[in-house]
Amino acid sequence: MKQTKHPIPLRFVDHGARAKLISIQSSQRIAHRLTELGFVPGVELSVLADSGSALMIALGDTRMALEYPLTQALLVAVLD
Amino acid sequence: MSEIVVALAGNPNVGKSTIFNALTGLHQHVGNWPGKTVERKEGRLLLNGKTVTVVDLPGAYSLAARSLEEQIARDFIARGRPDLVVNVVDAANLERNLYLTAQLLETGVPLLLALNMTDIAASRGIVINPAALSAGLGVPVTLLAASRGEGISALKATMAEMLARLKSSKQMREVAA
Ligand SMILES: Nc1nc2c(ncn2[C@@H]2O[C@H](COP(=O)(O)OP(=O)(O)OP(=O)(O)O)[C@@H](O)[C@H]2O)c(=O)[nH]1
Ligand SMILES: [Mg+2]
Repeated sequence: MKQTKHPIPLRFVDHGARAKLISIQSSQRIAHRLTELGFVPGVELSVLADSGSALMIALGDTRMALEYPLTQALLVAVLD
Repeated sequence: MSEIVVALAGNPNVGKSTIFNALTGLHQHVGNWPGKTVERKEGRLLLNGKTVTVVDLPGAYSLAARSLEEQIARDFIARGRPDLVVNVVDAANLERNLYLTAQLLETGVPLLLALNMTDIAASRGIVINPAALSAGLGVPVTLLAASRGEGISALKATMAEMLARLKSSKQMREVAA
């Protein structure tokens, strides 16, 4: 499976594309909470929708809405 | 004689209420948690001739209590002192569910792992070895597909066994003291 060379923020991933979480770049507190919610490096995600201020993310069978700043903190590699 | 209390805990949407309904049937009481707008569901179940109170806790990803639901779940487990916590986990998304399981284990509360959604896991070719999981975590594990009614009697049997064991060890401690 090919992946992009440089991780990019989840915020800029196209709808429908699959991506793998590489790291979280935020305060310790926010990174910890994101990890609790299942955003663990290595998991696969995809962007389902964009509300204009938040993204709807698919994480396994779970759907989660994340506001833009949080999607900026999640660095991913796009899979194809 | 104090009542026996069993709490159902787990991530959101893993089937806690489905299991709660299967365990307690019509013997339910729905109210609110004191001072909160979150629904509190409590029911009764007869296990080996003893009445057990079952509490359906709100969904939680963590016991660090960042949401109101998580706070309620945490407080009930820490202060409500349930005799047993049935940790309902989604067998199709096991890894993420085990984060809460690890935290529950750390509290030291007697724990039973109820692996639900085994039908979905099976349809995806996910094979789980319950004996290995049980040995690794040090707690009993039972398998369910609760929406199909599968695994409910096995769950009840394991709950009864654990409660009987916990009761006798408690009595032994009291005698020794
Ligand atoms: N396929 C399948 N679906 C299930 C199973 N158990 C529950 N469900 C379904 O999963 C959904 C969620 O079940 P609930 O019992 O409401 O889950 P919950 O853990 O109480 O959810 P919250 O209270 O919101 O945290 C419902 O649509 C159930 O019918 C199962 O074993 N297999
Ligand atoms: Mg529920």
